[in-house]
Amino acid sequence: MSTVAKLGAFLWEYFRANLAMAMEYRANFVIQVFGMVLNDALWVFFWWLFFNRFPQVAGWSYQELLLLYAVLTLGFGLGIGVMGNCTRLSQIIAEGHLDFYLALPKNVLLHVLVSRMNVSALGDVVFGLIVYGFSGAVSWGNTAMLFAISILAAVIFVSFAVLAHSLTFFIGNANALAGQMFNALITFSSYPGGLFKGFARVLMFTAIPAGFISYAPVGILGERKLDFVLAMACFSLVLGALAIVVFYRGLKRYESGNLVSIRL
Amino acid sequence: MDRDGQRVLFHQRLALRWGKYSEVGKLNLQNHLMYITDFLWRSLFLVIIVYIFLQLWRVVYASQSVELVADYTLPEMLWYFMFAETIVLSHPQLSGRIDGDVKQGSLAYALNKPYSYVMYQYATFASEVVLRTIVNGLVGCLVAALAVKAVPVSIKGLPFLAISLLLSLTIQFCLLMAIGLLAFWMEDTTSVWFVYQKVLFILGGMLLPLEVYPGVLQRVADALPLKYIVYGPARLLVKFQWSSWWQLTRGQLLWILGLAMLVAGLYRMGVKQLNVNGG
Amino acid sequence: MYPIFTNWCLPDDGVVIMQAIEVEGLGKVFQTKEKGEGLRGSVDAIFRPRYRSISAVNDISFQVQKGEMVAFIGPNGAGKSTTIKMLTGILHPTCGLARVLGLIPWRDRYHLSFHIGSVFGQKSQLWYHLPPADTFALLGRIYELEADDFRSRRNMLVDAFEIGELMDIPVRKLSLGQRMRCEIAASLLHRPEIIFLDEPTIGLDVVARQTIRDLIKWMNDDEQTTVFLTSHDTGDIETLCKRVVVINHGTIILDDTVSTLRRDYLKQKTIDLKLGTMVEDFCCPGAMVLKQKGYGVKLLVHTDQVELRKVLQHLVENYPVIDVNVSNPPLDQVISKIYRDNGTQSVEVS
Repeated sequence: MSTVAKLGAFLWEYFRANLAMAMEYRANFVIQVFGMVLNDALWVFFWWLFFNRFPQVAGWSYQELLLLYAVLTLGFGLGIGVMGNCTRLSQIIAEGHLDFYLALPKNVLLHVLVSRMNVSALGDVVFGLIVYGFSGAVSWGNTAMLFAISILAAVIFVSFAVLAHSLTFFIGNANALAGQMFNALITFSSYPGGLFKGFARVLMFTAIPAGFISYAPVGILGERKLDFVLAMACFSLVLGALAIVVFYRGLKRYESGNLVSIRL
Repeated sequence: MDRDGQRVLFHQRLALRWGKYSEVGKLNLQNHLMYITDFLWRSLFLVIIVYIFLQLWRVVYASQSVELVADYTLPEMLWYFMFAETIVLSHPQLSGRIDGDVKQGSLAYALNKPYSYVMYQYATFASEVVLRTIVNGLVGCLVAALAVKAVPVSIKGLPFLAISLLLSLTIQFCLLMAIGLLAFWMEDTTSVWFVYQKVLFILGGMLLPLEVYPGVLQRVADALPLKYIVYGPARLLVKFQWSSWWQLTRGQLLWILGLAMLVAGLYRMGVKQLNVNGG
Repeated sequence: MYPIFTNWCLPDDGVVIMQAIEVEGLGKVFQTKEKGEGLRGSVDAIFRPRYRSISAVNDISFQVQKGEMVAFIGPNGAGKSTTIKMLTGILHPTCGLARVLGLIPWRDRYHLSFHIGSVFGQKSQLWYHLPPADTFALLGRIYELEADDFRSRRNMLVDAFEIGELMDIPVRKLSLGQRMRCEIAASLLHRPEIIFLDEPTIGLDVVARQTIRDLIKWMNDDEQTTVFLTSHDTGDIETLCKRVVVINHGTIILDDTVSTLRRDYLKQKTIDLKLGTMVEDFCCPGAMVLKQKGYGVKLLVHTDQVELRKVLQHLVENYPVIDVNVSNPPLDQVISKIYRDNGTQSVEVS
């Protein structure tokens, strides 16, 4: 079996095991998923109220917002849902749980990320599909764009989380800091891109790459959609590579016992 | 024992019995002050969200070419939002804590001690909210003042606003406590809290002041206790009026009465369940 | 709930209460919902629930005198925690009666709570991020102690437990042994007449363990606190308690003194001999040689089959005995046999 196929099988096994475990508590599983769908629906409802009163915001209409939410929730759900540990990395590192993964014959980063599934984030995936269905912009071309951008968004979210939490290797338990950084990314991603100008806009395509998500409707409906997706793909690849490099650099420090603070 | 002696004893006993909760509150404050940096990090979110909403409202006011939206000027709108967000950010995730206590038996463990679990939680909740409100409030006021270069706040109303905030946190306590106590009957109350929070954001007037909503929704919001938690105090900050304050206070007191009974009832049912099933 | 202006006191019917705990025919049956497979099963469970009865405690009776130190033991799932929860008022029994310090725990829980203390090895009542001194102050308020009374009591306990230097260090920085000392001291602040200890020495090193045992003994000697101890550590039981109550499958299978248990339950003794010369074919009727090395011989005697006196006589008459040590089997062995004799649990209830 080629390495790619082996990797695929490994990921699939974990996904299956996590899902089975979550389904053990059927009622709770349903409540969590449904709860998240409801949660997202309320946000979309809020925006409906907003656009009801103020029909245009920075050149955006309600339809664009719906597409934004489709990408946001799909990307978040696919990324954080499947790689449930990406927001808990700081804790895992600080409490010494990495030792468990180091002793196993699998790629450490991937293993850590995938060994937990965030059940409620699956609700985000469900919602993303629903809200896309209601956006009034459903077509084969648009759907292809949606999936491409959502997957890239997932890569950006996970990479960013890994980068932020890898700080723990270098400065001690960075849980609060990384948490806020990730929170900032999600927050900025959930408002129409057109709101931010000048320096803020530059920031949003570099340090806090929320711009790719908050401008996602451009990639689906806009005239230069292919350019947009290409740019996003390049950026996600770079960000992903950076995250991997930083993590493994930090891991070397961890293995050599140079961790600043292991005890909580 | 003569009447005088008995009265002295009564006051003493009263002080002894309720003094324990103020001690709990004090201890909780000390606990949190040890991690003040944690609080400051969380205040960063307030800065971000106020910035975002500043951009949002600027765009709206410009596109509509108006001075007023509902009856708020842009500075008033932003200060309203900042304060509303401050109020909500100051609430710890109480229902999760209660859920944990129920599930891990800490609540049962508290049963053989001579204090009321609910009052204990209230004391810790209140002390934490007060501390966080002060920290968030200072940061928020700074950011808002810098953002709109104005402070549309009436100073004379501030002491009374403090009372409104105390009553507001009491209502929120009752609701979060009720959600947490559902843990006696539900596997995980997190989803309930999550959805409640969003409803609070919308119908409590955090994201938008209630005047902006269509009439139907405003009537729904009027029937709920949520507006007494966020909208009421936030509006009073930028538009203070004695009549409004009195109306708010009256409403808050009534809701506290009703919700307190709800919490007491839920708690009693939960303990009974514990008495029979061991939790 | 009593009105707040009542001056609470123990029931004053002229009877002097000698007994700390009285239990009579106490029983607890749990009803658990049976859930079928999958989603269908969960839905069914809501609309057509089926219940299964589990008898956790079944008709137990015993008394504990004031000032006694009793070990309450049993294998996991025997019904120990269920019993303790009933005695502290957390759980309501399905039948039977119990009185703790003359009060019915599940009815007078609030008033009883002023007079009982509890230390659960797994749960801490000290606030984790603050120094013990702060929790002590809080407990003083919770138990409504007057300020002067609290201070003198606290100082006395701090001296007795030697925790003076620990009082201002955050609990999270203390070692387990240090923490347990503070926990037990804290539980004594309000002068409880009876204290429930659940696994107080779990996870402690040998020295810390001995210290905790000494302190528990002190509280019993000095303050006549009744001690109700649950522990899997037989060292705890032997050092502290004269009496053992064994529970299994929800019923009390043994209620006796530790010495009687060790002497009589297993009906065996070990004899350690030291001989003057090396003996090749060592043999003794009625005794089994466990070990023979050099000048030492270890024998096992079943006292239900043969008289100890006869064995000793034979040994002394036929062998050059320099030293002899006759001992009862270790409590570990006795208890292990008791548990095994009463079979394994088919349903676990804790």
